[in-house]
Amino acid sequence: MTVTVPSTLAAAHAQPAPPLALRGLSVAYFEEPAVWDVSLEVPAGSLTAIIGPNGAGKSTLLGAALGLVPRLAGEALFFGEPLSKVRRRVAYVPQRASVDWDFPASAADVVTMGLYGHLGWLRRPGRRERERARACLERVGMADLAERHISELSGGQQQRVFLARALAQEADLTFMDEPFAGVDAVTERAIVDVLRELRGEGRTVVAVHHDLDTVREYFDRVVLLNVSLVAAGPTEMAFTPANLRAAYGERHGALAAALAGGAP
Amino acid sequence: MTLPFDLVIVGTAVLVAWACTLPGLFLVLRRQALLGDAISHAALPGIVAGYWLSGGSLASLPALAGASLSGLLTVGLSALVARGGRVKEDAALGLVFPALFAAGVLAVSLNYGNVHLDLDAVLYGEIAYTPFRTGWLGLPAAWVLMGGTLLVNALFVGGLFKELQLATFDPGLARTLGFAPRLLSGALLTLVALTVVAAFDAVGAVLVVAFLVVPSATALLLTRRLERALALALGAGLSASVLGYILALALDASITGAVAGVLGLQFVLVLGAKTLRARGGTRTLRP
Amino acid sequence: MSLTPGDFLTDYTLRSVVLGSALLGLVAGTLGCFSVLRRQSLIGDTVAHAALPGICAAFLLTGTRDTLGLLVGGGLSGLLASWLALAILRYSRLKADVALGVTFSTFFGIGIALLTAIGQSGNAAQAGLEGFLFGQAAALTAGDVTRFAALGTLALGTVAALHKEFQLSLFDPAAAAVQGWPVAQLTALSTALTVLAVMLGLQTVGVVLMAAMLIAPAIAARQWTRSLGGMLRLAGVFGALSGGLGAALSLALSPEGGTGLPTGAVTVLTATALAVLSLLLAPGRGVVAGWVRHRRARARLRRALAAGGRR
Repeated sequence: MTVTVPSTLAAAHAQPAPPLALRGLSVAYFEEPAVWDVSLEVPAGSLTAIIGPNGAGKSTLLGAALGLVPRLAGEALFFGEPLSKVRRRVAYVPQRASVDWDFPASAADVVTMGLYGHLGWLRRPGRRERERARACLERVGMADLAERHISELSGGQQQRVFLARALAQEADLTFMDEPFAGVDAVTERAIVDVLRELRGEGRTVVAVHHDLDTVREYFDRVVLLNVSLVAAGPTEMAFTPANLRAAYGERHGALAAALAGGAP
Repeated sequence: MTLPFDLVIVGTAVLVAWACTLPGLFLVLRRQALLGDAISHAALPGIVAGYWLSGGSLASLPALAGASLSGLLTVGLSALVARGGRVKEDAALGLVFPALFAAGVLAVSLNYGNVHLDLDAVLYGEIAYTPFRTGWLGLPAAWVLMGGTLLVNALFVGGLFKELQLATFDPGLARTLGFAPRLLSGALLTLVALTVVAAFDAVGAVLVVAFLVVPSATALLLTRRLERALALALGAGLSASVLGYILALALDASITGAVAGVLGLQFVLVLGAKTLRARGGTRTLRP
Repeated sequence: MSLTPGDFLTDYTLRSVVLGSALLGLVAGTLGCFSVLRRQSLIGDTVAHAALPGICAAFLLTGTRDTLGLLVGGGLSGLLASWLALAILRYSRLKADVALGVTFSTFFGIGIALLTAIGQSGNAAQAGLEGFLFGQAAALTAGDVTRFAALGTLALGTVAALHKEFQLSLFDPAAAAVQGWPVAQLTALSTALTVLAVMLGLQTVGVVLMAAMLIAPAIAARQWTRSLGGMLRLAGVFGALSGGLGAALSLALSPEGGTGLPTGAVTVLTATALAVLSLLLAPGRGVVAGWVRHRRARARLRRALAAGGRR
């Protein structure tokens, strides 16, 4: 199926727009700013970690970019377009606690939901969708548990179901909100493998991340946030003791800097 | 054409049961099980306004429209009160619907103190009278009204099953995929209001509220699949309608009350059996 | 009937009605705080509906319309219903709203069946039973007031005596259990007190409107205070005010020759008005104050953004 759209053709000749570009994004909860004047670009084919202390606005930044949280000011462009035009190319893996795990659905059902965007309104998922969902579960090592009810899965397995759902969306840009929070070692390994596969396919991942120990190993870019943007760039350049101290404050920054491998 | 009384009454009960169960399952899953109760009470001022507009008829289009509107007003107002987190959602609902009901009671006593607008008839409508009113094609009027409601609900839930499932389970994903979850929930609640009001006339508020919640709750005890839960809930409504009618005949009691009682009994039996089995048999490990 | 304020002080019936309604408002308002804070606001609605079969059964057993006997019957079936709802929560994965919905629609359905049966039996005294659906404050006698005062004192006295224990088990049940407090029993006790409040309230406002008498004063009170003690006291005051004012208004505003405005409806509308005014106007938590603050803050933040300053 080849459809020639003039505008995309023109865009292909010019510099391709980055998967994510934030310009002056600001969010306020009540009187306090939660995200302040953040501008950044995330290049295609990268794995980016958003890090920062508690209350730094990491999840809020994701939510505001995706239009799930009202913005005070600023804009977010995806592949050079507003989200409404490129929804199919963007996937979002929320925190596990954000849904009701007692909902009557199996692991395969949840993964199939990732395909609803491709189906559009009214069309029901059929055998083809079932098979694709199963393939995605296979990729995260969950094929055996496809028919299990979601409440009977461990926390790590639930996280992998969410990851498989994002895979089913076949998005070019995937947001993840703390994918490694409270998961077992097997799941952590599985997620990392999938992230690398995605990068290999030229896709982009942006994840809120907590564990400073693993930043260097898992991610090639970091965004350091403490309400305002502290630093953004390739891990070796932005993930520095000085920047960590600036983001986490003097007391915790020293510890963070030590973890990052620099001198305190 | 005259149909046997038994058939008309049981048929009406089943139509109401199914019309209520379709949106009811999603209400239960969305933790809005008590909304049916709230809407059914809050509909009173709308019914009174419609009664006034239509010049004194209860089962009229204006009354139906008024009741649906005040049902929706309940939903909107309680969402407004709950906004900003000052008041929790359950408390907001509990503030709004009695106030609307009180306004309706007041309006009745001020304007119709001497006219026959029987509150009991509105709230506790009597299914035993349905065989006496015929409508389109000589069919019982209640069949026409509830059949139409069932058809609309079936088209909505059948056509948008996957969208409703996604918007209920993960509204965030529904939004990022462009499925307008707020519009969907607005449409669902509109249908609930319409169904409640349409069923009022035939069977009264008690049974409507019971049908909205209890069959789905029973089904969700039995299965962990959404499609199967819907099928089981429809079955629970059917069996309660038939058994309740037989019981009402045997005891010479109110049909509405007997059907509601059987619904409750079915639920308790399933819950009891499940609990006993979980204790007796091998316990499944849960994370 | 046109009344002057003086009539309320001198007329025996009027005094009973107003005093009785205020008393019931006081008890319901205070106890309602617990269910609102526990996010089970509509348990009052459930208990009120679930009382109906008990009231009917008590009537069928005793054959008289003795208020106290009927309320004991109603209280027992209300307790049974709330116990059943708690059991559903415990033994299934269903949520609180479903547990309440299943219980009350079943109990109420059975109650309606019994009510119809009593109606068909043609017992003349049955007319009084329907009063419980919509409330009948005008029927309050001085004897009722005395009895309700005694029961109300018992309920409020329990709340006052166990204030600290209720507070802890409400806010942090786990911590309370670890400290050795009998949390389950305390919860059961506060539910039982709520049932008592509902039974007292049925007399004036009726089944359907009872929910508001528990919820509205608590919502209003929460707007003005930050402490549980303050909230309980203020909710009591708001409840008493709604009850007394509602009863007085309904008597005073009754149209000439009319049967009188329904006390329950006027009382509930008064309580709702107090809640809405509190939601809008209270300093700090009020909507108006919040809106002004919010607008100012956003304008300030936008200016700061435009000036390019760091926050």
